[in-house]
Amino acid sequence: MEMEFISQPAVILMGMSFFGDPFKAAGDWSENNEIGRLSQRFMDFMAASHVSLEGILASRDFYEVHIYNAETEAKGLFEVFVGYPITALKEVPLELSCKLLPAGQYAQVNLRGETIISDWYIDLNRDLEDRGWQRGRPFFFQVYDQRYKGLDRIAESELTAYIPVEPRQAQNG
Amino acid sequence: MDDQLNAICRALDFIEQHLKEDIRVEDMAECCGYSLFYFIRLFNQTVHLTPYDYLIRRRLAEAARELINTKRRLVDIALDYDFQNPETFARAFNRVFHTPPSQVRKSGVLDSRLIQRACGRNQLLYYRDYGTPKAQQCTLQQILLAGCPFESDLTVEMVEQVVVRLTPFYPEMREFFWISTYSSHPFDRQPAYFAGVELHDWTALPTNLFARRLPSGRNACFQQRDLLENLSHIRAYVYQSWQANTAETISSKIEIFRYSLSKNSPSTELILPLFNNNDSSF
Repeated sequence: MEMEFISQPAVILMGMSFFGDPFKAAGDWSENNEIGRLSQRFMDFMAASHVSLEGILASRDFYEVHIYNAETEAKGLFEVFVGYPITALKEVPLELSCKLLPAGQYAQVNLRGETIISDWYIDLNRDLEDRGWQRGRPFFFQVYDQRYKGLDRIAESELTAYIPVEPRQAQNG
Repeated sequence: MDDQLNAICRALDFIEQHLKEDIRVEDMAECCGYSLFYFIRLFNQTVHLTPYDYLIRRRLAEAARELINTKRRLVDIALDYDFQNPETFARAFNRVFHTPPSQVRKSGVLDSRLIQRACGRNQLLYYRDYGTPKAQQCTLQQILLAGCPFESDLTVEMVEQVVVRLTPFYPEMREFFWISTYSSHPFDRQPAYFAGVELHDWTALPTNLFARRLPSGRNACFQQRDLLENLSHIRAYVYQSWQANTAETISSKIEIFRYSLSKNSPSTELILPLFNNNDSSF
């Protein structure tokens, strides 16, 4: 797995969120799970919005953020936020929320083809440790840009995942 | 006093029973046993709408329900509710709901706050015991809020949940804002609820919270004791009676509540953006 460690500035996103178990109704990488439905709802909103957002959009790169909390491990509940990066808050539509991805050190993982829908993150903690890092704040995000062609063309697709990291602390004992 | 309240309740029942008929205000007065002049004055003082305006609003509410729930032709619905023709119906509909009937038929969506429900004794008792909430005009600058979404409308119980969710991030929190967003998009029929505290620097937004923007502009601010306990009555008054008797138009997109957590006198203010607002969001 291609992994780089980068220092990333803060990014502010404009979008919509879901909290719960997104895979309750349909599994990972199904367009019918709550993440797929949330993304569709956001895209529908953007298409139907009469406000011009071009002045505040930093790009049309699509961000999917997973944010974990105390209930994640026990109940599988977590927050998903999808949206676009923006440069200004002034014209954000009232229906949308903003999310701040904090500046800091991130592991940048490039995923290609079938790896995208694989369980690539299962060995993530070990891979990070091998390189002298550990996971930082409890979230991660994926960026879908023009390299991502869709689930039906996954073999030709690429995307990048970012995981907040911090230098590995020596284990006591 | 009770006699008068009972008489107005009889008139309200009479209206409900004859929504589709050609009734006149004189008929309502007669059903109460009052003179026309006295009835109009009493109805206005008690319901806070004129009898004729109330009748039209109730007819429009029922007509809107049929538009959404049936496939009946618009012209048939209009004539059924005693409108002379579809044009008269469309004009009245647009005035009350800020959207043409054809659009409501197409989208199947109508803002429930604008629908005049049958006024019952409880609403009249609320007016008698509390009076009507008074509006003050206030201008807000743009505010950025840090907070999180909630799944149901603001209630006294919900205030406790807001405190539990936000206090870990803002232990000194003295007040919070609650925003109910009413989308006009057919895929987003339920209002979205959000509570947050004022954020002065967006780079200080915790990852687990969201930022929402409250646009600048003129607002109508309503204060009254026990506001949350009486929210349905207050909404009924504001969106029907107050709106009918002012030149201002309330934006139907959002409702804002400012809740003060002062231990001595917690209070709630309902802030409604006015339509001819400079902010393009409205």
